[in-house]
Amino acid sequence: MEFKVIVDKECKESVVVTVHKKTSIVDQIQKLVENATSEAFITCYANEEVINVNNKDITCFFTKDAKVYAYVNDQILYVRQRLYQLEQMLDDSFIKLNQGCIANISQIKSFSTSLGASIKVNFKNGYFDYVSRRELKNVKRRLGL
Amino acid sequence: MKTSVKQFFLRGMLFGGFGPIIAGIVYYVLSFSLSNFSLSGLEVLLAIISTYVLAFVQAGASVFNQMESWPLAKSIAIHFLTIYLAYVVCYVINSWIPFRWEVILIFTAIFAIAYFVIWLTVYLLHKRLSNNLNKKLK
Repeated sequence: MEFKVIVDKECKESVVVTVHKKTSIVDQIQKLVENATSEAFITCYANEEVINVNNKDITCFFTKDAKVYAYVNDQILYVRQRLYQLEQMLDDSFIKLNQGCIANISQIKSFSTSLGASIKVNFKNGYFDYVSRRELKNVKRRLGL
Repeated sequence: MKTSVKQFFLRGMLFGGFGPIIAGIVYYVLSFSLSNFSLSGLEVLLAIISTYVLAFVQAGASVFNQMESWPLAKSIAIHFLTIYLAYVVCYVINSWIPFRWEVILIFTAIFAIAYFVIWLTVYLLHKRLSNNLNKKLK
């Protein structure tokens, strides 16, 4: 398959894929382009107020007392979806850390070692969580290890 | 603290069942290795309960290592002591070690060395892994 990139500042930006049939590679390209260009929002709730939050601004989603919350900067907002629903909805910029946390990769400041033989994830806003043993393999794969 | 206690019991209940399975495997192997190997009903019952408690405490105690508000020494000390006490009590109750101070002293030394070696190995492995993950983040 031929791959061609045309850099032309005069033209409207578009990605055109010409193939004989639609394969998983085409789906991946489509998803990649859509994620890179579209702004995804999620509806969150703070008391009675409804707030549409850009996915990029969300540090992570976490569960507490069987409810799902989104950490947006220093604010904790309630989310109506279940964590597994969010997992299906969210794009590749999010990663599941454990049974109760989905993190925005771009909001991760660093990884460190916890005393209890697990990997600690430090977010840019100061919040932290841990990678469960079950998700460790997936986290490594997603980050290219 | 309330969440940690809840986590302790949750983890304990999740992994406690593995104890009796391991005990069963050990007894199965022993039955092949020892010619006159036999256990009374009480011994089996004690072993099942003890190994469940050991696995429960071992799994639950991992919560102590995630208590970020605790200093490093306190976290390790409480984790070590909790597991150590569970092991000593269960070993003595089951007569896996005799209740003599010199034996308990040797057991303590072996336990402490094994604990430290395992902790250090896992810690270093995870330190290397977190360093590699940090490189990928950049």
